[in-house]
Order: sequence, then structure tokens, then C-alpha cells
Amino acid sequence: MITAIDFGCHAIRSACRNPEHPRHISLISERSEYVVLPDTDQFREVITVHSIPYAECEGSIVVFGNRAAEVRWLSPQPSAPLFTNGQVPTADAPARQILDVLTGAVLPQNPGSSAACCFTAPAGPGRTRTAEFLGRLLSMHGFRPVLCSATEATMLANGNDCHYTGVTICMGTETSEISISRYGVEIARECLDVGSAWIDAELARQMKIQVWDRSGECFLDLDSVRDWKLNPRLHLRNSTGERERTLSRLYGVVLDRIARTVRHLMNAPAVQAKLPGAHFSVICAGGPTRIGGFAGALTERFVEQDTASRLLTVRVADDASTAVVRGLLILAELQHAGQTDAESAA
Amino acid sequence: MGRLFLLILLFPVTFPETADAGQAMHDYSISGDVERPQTYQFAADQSVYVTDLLFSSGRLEEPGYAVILRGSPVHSAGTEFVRPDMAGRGSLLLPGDIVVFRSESGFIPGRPNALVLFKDSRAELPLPEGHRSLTSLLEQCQLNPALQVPVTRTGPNPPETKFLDGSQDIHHGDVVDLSQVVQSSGLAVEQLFETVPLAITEQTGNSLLIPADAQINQSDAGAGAEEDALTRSLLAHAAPADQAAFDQAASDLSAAQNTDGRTGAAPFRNASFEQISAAQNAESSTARADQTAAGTSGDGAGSAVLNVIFVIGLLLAMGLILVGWLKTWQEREIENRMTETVRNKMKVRSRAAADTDRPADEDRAAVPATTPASQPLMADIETDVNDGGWILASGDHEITAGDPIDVALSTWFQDDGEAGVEAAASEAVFRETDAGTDSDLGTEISAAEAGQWIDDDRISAPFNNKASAPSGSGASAPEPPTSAGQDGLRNSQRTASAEESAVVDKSAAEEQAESSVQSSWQDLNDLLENRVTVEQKAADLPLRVNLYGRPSGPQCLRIDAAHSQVAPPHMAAGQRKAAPKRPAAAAAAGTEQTAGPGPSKATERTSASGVDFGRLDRALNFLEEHSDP
Repeated sequence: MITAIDFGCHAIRSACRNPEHPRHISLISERSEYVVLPDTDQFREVITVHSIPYAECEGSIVVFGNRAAEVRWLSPQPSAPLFTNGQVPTADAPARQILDVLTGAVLPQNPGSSAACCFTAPAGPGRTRTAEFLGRLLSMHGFRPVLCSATEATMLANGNDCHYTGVTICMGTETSEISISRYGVEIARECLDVGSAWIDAELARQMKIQVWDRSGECFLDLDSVRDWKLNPRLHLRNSTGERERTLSRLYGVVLDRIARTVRHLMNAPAVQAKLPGAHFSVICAGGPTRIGGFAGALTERFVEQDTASRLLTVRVADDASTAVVRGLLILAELQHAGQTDAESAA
Repeated sequence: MGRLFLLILLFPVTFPETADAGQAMHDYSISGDVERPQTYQFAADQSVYVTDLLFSSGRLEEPGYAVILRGSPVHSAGTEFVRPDMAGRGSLLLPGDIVVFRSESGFIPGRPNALVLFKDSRAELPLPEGHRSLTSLLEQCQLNPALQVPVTRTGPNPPETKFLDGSQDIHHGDVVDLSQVVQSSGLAVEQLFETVPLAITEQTGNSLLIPADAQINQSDAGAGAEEDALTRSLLAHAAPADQAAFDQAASDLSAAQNTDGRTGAAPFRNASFEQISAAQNAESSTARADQTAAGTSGDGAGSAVLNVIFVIGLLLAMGLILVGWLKTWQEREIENRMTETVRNKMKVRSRAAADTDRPADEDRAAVPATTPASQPLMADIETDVNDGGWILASGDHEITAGDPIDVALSTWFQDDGEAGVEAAASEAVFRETDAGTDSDLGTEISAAEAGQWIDDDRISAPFNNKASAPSGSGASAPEPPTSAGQDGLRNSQRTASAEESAVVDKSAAEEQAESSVQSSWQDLNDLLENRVTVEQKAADLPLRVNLYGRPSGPQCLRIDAAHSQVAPPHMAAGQRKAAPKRPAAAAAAGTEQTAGPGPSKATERTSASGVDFGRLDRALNFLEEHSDP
């Protein structure tokens, strides 16, 4: 069965066609985080009563995935990410094991012989160690891993109206990937080590949004910042209040870097050679791009960077959160179709 | 009373100009990538936003940037990104604001233009070639070509104001501020303008200036002389496409001036001069009434032509609907027929299989040894195709395909290379009732059974499900069958049945494969265009798992640096300072200072004499451990 999986620092999403209804796509999404609780009888009883899946570690109980948000109230300690700084953690063995459990849970059972599975690594395909780990993880579950970049998948999913040619920006939690594609093939790519996690952390740090656990340790309350950002009234260009203005300013810093990178890529020799004097459509995807006014704020940065004259449109994908996994599924099916044609021709 | 009430209600509708006459108006200008760039007037008590001005100048179809310019000298008051589907109305404009709209794609719905600002008025400068030298503009305005003029340039970059000299060009979207130039030039410029004779009828027009130019100010003629000269100069370079509109306005203007006895002498004013004499209003309204009365006779003929066009259009629409309905009906019929054909093929295959299993004696008994040519032969296989298929017309009655076909021994195989079967009887005539039908395989079998081979090549010709349509009227002359040919006929029938079943299997497999390929590509296309249905499912997580290791958890926020060593109480501070204990001695005394994993900092210290106390402590500890019983 052809499958796609997007290992994101915010969530792990998988997609495959429903075998009974091929026109339906089954999408499974699990948050890539976990919450550590003390291993006491009270906590164990509460979790067991609510039938919440959990894991037992050395002296602690760990609840992971989407259910971590349900038990967050049991502990003042905020949740921990499965990918630290966009990488598989080397010093957190339970996190790696949780990754294995979550991967097995979101992938379809009985995939068949050598079923292809397109996947993305959290910080792009450049991080070879993380990509290797995740590829082996998929191989353990019976799939043939095919690594792909998030920007290429986004272009396949949303570049239908621009002939799959243009600039793709995938703003993630830990990283932001930018690429320029020509007919679906990437000719220049760049990955920035900044994403919405940096914005959240800076906002919490500047606005003193903190929590303390029982031992008195202080943590940045990133969960409350993320919950606040889900407010649909938030708009980057119509900020009201100090916190919103700070958020706009922090977004502006990231968008400024993105716009500079886009200008740098446009002037790259490969782009100049293959797309001389072309005008590009800009497609944005990723969870952080869903905030109101993102396209306008990015356009302003392009104007400041003198690249607006080479751009046709700046738009956010309709399904910004799931565009990557849909593009991965498209890529997997295209590869499968090409392989089938080659076999039939042989 | 009722009439009075009705009159009051209808008054503002009938005479909107009268209702608005006493209302103060404010000017707002728009230029750039819009359909109708010009200066618009809004009521003074009306709040005007960016989108109001944009929608006044045409349909907003593309997103872009609206650069708001304000004040004198002109300066940028902000840039706003405008989308056609934006929820708000944009920024609030102040009276006299200028909006230069630049679309993202650079598409210009109207024509390239720039805006020229005078001291008290504004005018749109058309740029048919997209640019124009500043020198020519200054010359046409009869200003010094060496002047440096402030031009606010908008584009993809933020707006900036530059002083252009005569060698530089004015581009699309520029705002040329001549008001400062006129002021600096002072009286000389005004005198220069006064020398320009007014010959409106000889000028080429600009329709975008007409709403403003049609208003004539008599009392303030001297003050607006310089604007008039500049406007006339601009009119001289307007696009020829606006000639007719401008001539109309100019003729109105000339008529009004002739009435006043000031033909060719009085200058005209722009839209910003709001005071219009009542006499001119009355004259212009009278002129409009005359034109309306003159056009009434022509309206009758025009309405008849419109009616004819409307009826023709209606008939065309009905015809199109009818053609569409016929096409749909025909496609449905073809689809039904194909389904029926496939069903018949399957039936034929099953019957052929049954015939193959039947003993040869039975077959031989089924067919008489000798059959006279005049006696029709009853076909073993009945054709079930009855809708849209073939109809056998035998003499004065018709035989539908659903009936058993009595085919005479005059059936011939066609020699067209496709092994088609011609099932025309000597007296029966096939007639095709519908176009596009596939040949009936049952009919083919009947014909094969009743027909006669023409030569050996045709015997070896395989059956093909893509049989050609029988041409009954052109059937060749029948030949009587011979008894010796019956066995060969049976054998050939079996061979044909086997081949036919193989062909049917192959074609069915091909059709199935083709349909599956088509559906898979359709599914992929739907996925590409995001037309698929997404089903959110929950992951099937194990209820309890055991993990190895200790989770590191979230990263804590360290507010201040950790203390390297906890300070001792004050009563012990003196003792500690006086005689610091070695870590080994402290451990032996049961007052260990450090805790937790890792080497302590104290063990890594070395004395000033170079003695490694850490190594010494480890050795002492080793000795103590081994000396314990």
C-alpha cells in the first residue's frame, strides 16, 4: 500500500488511500510530544480509568501523542518535544522509542511487499542522521522509505495552477525550508534553523509566560502560547495589544530572513541558468502560515528586499497543515505509476 | 397630500444633481493599474476608504499595492496590500489624497498613465507608449525644459520622490508634482499661459478630463489661467481614441461660451473648481433635453433592431439547448447499447461453450444434411439485441433482433480484412436503425452457421469482435451450400467459437485494465487538485508499553547561574576558612559536600605545589576500602 508520512516537529501525519474507497484519503495525525508524570498510583489510576495509552519508564509515566494534551493538567510540567531542535534526540532514549511506537500506529497495517512510503525528515533531507534513523524506522515496519523534501511535496500538492514552477516556503516548527522548483523539480533549496518554536519561545520569554513545577524549576509555557496563537482573530498586520505586536515583530524577523533567502536563491546561478528572468508564484505551507495576514506580511518583506517585481503571487496553501503529506502521497503514487509503466514496458 | 408626498419622494430621484448641488465635494485621485484613472469627487461628509476609490475606478480583479500619497509636496502616507476578497475597506483617506494602485502581476487594465498635479487641480496624463520624456511635458506646458520636477515614483519598491530633469522619462504610475514648479516659476509662468490662445475645438481630447473640464468657472477665470494652459497642453497629447467624447464635451463648452459672448477668450477650468454658474447649468440641461428629443425618433428603429436581435438570440439559445439535449440522449443511448453488447457477448460465449461441450452427433442432427437454398435456416443462437440493433425487414414484415433470425444460406463473409460477417438473407434486408452500433455477435454466429465460405483465406480468417456493420442491400448473390461443406462448417464454427471466446476474454481484460488505468489516473488527478475526501482517523496506539531509559523531559528555564557550592552557615565559615578539609577527610567524617553523579570539582583541584589532591584522595579511598574488614 502506498503511504506517505510527514515527520514534523509539531505532528506526525500519515496519509494513504482507503482501500475500499480509493477516492478517500485516510489521514492520521499524532502530536510529536510527550508528557512526563510521576509514577504514582493516583496518576496510574486516572490514566487507566480514561483508557489513555501510556508508557512506563524508569520511575515515571509517559503519555505521548494527541493524548498528551489530555493529561497536561495533571502536571505543571509542560510537554516535551520528540524532536529536539529538529533532530532525533541522542540523549533521550524514551523519545526515540516513542517515535517507533507512533510510527507504527500511524502507518497502515499489512502494507504488502515492498510498499513505498515517502517521508520527510524534520529539518529537511540535509540532516542525514535524522533521515537515516527515520528511514530505518520505516524499513522496520515493512515499507520502502523514499526521502523527500517538504517543499517539493508542497509544490506537487499546490503547484497545479503554476505548472509546478515557483517558490515554495514551508515554515515549520523548528525550521523553514525554501526552494525554487521548475516543473516540479527543485533547482535551489535552503533550510533556515528558525520556525514557529523560536517565535513561541521568544514571545514567552519577552512576555514572561512561565510555569513552575513541583520542584521549583521554571519552564517557558509554550503550550499556552500555542493555544493563544490558535485564536482566529490574530492578524499580523492589524495587531492590537502588546502581545500581538510582539508576535508580529517576531514573525517579521523570521519573514525577513525568508525574504532574504528567497532573493539569494533567485540570484543563484542554477536559477539564473534555468529560469532566466522568470516571474515566480510563491506558495506557502506549514502550520505557522495559517495565521492571519501572513501573505501580506511576507509580501511587504519581498517589497523591502526588491524581489516583489519578480513575483506573480504570494499565497498560502488551502490545506497548509496537510499539504506536505498530500504532496508526499502524490510523489509516492507518481513513482509507483512510473515503476509500473517501466515494468510493463519491459 | 398624497401627491405632495409622492413628489417629495420622487424629487431626489428625478433631479439628483439638484439634490446634490448644495453639497460640498472632496476630490480623490487614483492612477496606476486601474481601468479608469481620474479624479473622483465624494461628498464631504462621506468617509472614503481605499477600496471605495478602487471600485470607483473599475473592477478590482487582482491583488496589489495601494500607495497613498498625501499633502503638498506629495509624500507617502502608507502602502496597503489590497485583495479583491479582502474583508475590510482599507485605510481611511483624507480629502485630496492620491492613491496609486500597482497590481502584483503588473497587468494594466486601462492604459498606462501618470498623474500631474497643478497648484489647484490634477490631471491624468496618458502614456500610450508607457513612458514620456519630461522635456516634452514641460514644453507642452510651456515651462522651462531645464526645470527639475519632483516626481513620486511607485512600483515594486517603496514610493520615493525624485527630482527629474528634462532628460529623464515619466513612467507609468508616476505622480508629477508641477504645483511646486509653478510656484517657483512665479509670475513668468502665468504670463506665459496668458499668451496661449484658447482653441478648444482644434485640440484633441482626453475623456478622462472631460468630467472636470466640462465645468466652467466664469468668476475665477484669471486665477486658473495657468492650469488651463497646462490642461490644454495635456489635451493636445491625449489618445485619439477619446476624440469623439472630447469633441462632444468641447462642443458643449463652445456652445456655452458662445452664449456668453466670450468665444475663444475664456479659459476653462478643471474639476476642482467647484463653482458653476446656474446659467450654464440651465443651458447644459437644455442642450441635453434637445439631444434627447432628437434621439427619440432614432430610438424607435433602434428598439426594433434590439427586439430582432433578442428574438434571434432566444432562438439560438433554444437551438443550443436542443442540440445539447440530443447529444446527451445520443450518448446515453450509445452507453446503453455498449452495455447490452457486452451482455450479449457474454451470453454468446456461454452458449458457445455449451455448444463445444455438445457431442458432434447432436450437432450434426441439429443441422439438416441438405438444405434447399430457398428454405431459410433457423439459427441456433438467438440474438437478444433488440433496442437500437438491427432490424430484419423480410418482405412486408419486420423482424427485430430479439426474434430468432431465419437466415438463408446466402450469408457471406466479407472480404474486408477484418473477417466481418455479412448476415444478409436473400430476401431479408438489414437496415440500420441507429448509427454507431457495434455488430451483433449473435448475428455473426448465425451467419457463420448458415453461410458459405467463399475461399480458403476467409475460412482461416479469425473472428473479430470488431465486426463491420452488415450491408444488407449490397449483399452478394447466394450460393447453395453443399453437403460436403457442412462438416467443415461445424468445425469452423467450433474454431470460431473458441477464438471468439479468447478474443472476448482478451478484450474484456484489456477493457478492464484500461478502465483501471483511467480510474487510477483520475484518482491521481483528483489528488493533485485537492478534490479528494480526507477521512481523519485516530491512531491505534497500544494501551501500555514499557520503555527503556529515563525521559529527559522539557528543557527547563534557568533564571540565574547555578551556585557552584552552597555557602556554609556563618558559624562554620570561620572554621572552614581556617582549616579546609580534604574531600576524602570529609567523606570519612560523613559530611560529604557534593552529591550526584560525576566527579566533584574538589577532586580535580591541584595545590599550588603541584600535588594532585584528586589522585591522592582516590588512592586514600582505595586504601580505606580495602582495609575495611
